Amino acid sequence: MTPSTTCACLPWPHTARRIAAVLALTLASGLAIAQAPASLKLGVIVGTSGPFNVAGAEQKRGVEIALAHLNGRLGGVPFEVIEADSKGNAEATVSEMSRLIERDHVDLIAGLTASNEIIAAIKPITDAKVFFFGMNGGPAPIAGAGCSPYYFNASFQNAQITRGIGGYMSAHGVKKLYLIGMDYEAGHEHTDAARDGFTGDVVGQSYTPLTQLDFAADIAKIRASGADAVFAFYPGGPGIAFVRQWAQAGMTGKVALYSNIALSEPTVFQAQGKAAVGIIASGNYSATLENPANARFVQDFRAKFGRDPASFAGLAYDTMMLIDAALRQVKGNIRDQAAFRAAIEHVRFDSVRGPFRFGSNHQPIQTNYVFEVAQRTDPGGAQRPDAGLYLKRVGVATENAVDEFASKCQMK
Amino acid sequence: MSAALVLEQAFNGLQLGMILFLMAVGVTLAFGVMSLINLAHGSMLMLGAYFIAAAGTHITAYPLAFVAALLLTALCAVALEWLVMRPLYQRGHLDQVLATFGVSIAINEAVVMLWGREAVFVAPPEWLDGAVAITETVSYPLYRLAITAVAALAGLALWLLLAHSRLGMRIRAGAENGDIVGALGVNVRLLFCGVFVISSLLAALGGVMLGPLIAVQSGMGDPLLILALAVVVIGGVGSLKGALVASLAVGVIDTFGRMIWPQLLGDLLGNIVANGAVYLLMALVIAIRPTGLYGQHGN
Repeated sequence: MTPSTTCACLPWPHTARRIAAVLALTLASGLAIAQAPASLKLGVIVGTSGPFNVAGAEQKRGVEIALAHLNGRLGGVPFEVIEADSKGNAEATVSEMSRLIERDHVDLIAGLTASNEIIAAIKPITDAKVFFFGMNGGPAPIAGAGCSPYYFNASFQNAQITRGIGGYMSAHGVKKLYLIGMDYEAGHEHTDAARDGFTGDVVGQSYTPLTQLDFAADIAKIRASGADAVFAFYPGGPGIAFVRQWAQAGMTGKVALYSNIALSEPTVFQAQGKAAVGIIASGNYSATLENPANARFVQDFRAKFGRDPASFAGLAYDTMMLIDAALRQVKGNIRDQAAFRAAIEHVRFDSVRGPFRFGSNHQPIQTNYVFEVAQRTDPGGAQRPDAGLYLKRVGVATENAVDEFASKCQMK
Repeated sequence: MSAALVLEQAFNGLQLGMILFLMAVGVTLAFGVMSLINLAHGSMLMLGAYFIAAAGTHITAYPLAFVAALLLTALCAVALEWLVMRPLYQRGHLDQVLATFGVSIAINEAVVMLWGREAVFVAPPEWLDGAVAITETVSYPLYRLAITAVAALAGLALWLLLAHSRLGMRIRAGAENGDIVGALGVNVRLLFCGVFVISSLLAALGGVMLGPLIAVQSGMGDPLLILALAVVVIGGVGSLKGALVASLAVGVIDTFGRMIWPQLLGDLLGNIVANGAVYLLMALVIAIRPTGLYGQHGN
């Protein structure tokens, strides 16, 4: 990486070297023109500020590892990354998307963190005919009737990472279930998906305001309801509060706590501490999934950031690798959009989450696993940035599952 | 609803009320004395929580870490008062809102630079980690009882200070007419600085105690500030008694509302009413008494 200007290793004089270099460059670029563009611009837009900044920052870490592995080439073509911040809101997303497309003339865009951002981004990318690869989340409307030929969701359809946990709970002896979540679209989507396939009784449900930080009253209600398990949807900060207060109220071990990985992941392990141990969470990715691609990714992520990657990072990494594989199919040529689209639709790559392919609505068909938050046995773990916790794979919620909106999408 | 549950929820409501009181009393004090609307008040709660996290890693004795966290917040409050708040006292409320909102964003970002975006861990003191049996079947976390007790003591100390001390007399006089108090030889600047530090300390006390219960991360105090502003409006802006009464009322109404409304109206509608109950109460109070329960007319 450190080229020496006073290299004494070659016996020929400077001028001759220069001529040789020019010749080599001309040849190389001539070959490149015949096959593919000389270089590509990839816009990477994530919400590194605003309400989802913890997730956004983790996505960026995943991209960082991917860039190291890609070694400056995407699908065999040299490329540069142009960064943007979607700020967790629709307005910033639209203006940043427009900037990437109109001012920076990017060839492809990948990223976004929150569902509201994705919904806002669909029109700009479809109008401009620029392919966009979603790195996190998949809102229902654009998985179904609102699907776009230029949008590929490389992460998950929202309810997909919860679906199947209902059946899992029934299979594990849960008879009386309490549903609780944050009072917004995703809160209702995930609790509804958890109810699906559950054969026992739902003895109560609560939806708490987004700003609520103290859940003592709700936990008391859950205890009084006689439920033997609760499914709780609380991502980020409220999730930390809920888990710690749950343990402090003495509920651990008395009422089983189910969720999806939004509740408890490496990004919040340190703040949740041992209160998180025993949580059962469904999800499409964890650092403990055993496949060669994940082993390489996790090893390098750990070396750089000192802990396991959260799903935001894993899916961001995967998205980059997916783009790489699809581009390779068309030899980096995206001018023929129909051919490139077909290449993405049938993309095969070594996903860190195991088997992956796209459905007819450009949403993933993938396996939803069941994990348990567990404590590593090695000493000193509590001092690490992940408090020595990890997601242990304990089962499967749904295998190679298509999301429920696929039939509503008419791809035009 | 069993008696044990009612008792448990009463404890929960009281505790929520006392935490809100710690926030609201600072807001109302700053407004009553300096006529200052301070949207950076939530940042003080956040700083308290971060400082107890930082102090906890260096100091093993919890009481010492506790004091250190409050002292650090007090230092920040002095700097903030001197740099930002002092020029704002004479300005209109819109200027104050804009400036203090800006301050809250700056402090939120400063915290990210110092401690990172991910939430940090705050351990409760081990000797408060247990639970107390309130009935045969239900036990209540000792730590939550301690929060209520400390908040109540802080409120009592504030009342003693304001009602029964020379400093309190000056503060009350300053609230009535700062110029005259200044003319009588009292250093109003110092007085106002003292009031700002006291109100910041009360918020920081809330943050220090909430640290082990909620997520200690950038912007953590802002949702509580919104609720505290509702409390202040209900109680009457500038009224300490109003802040206490409204805090406890909101704590109890919010907690019991979560139980009662879903039972009366069903899960869906009941949840909506329970979530909006505080703001419905605020609208009702404003409609009947526009200055709040204990607000002075013609302010």
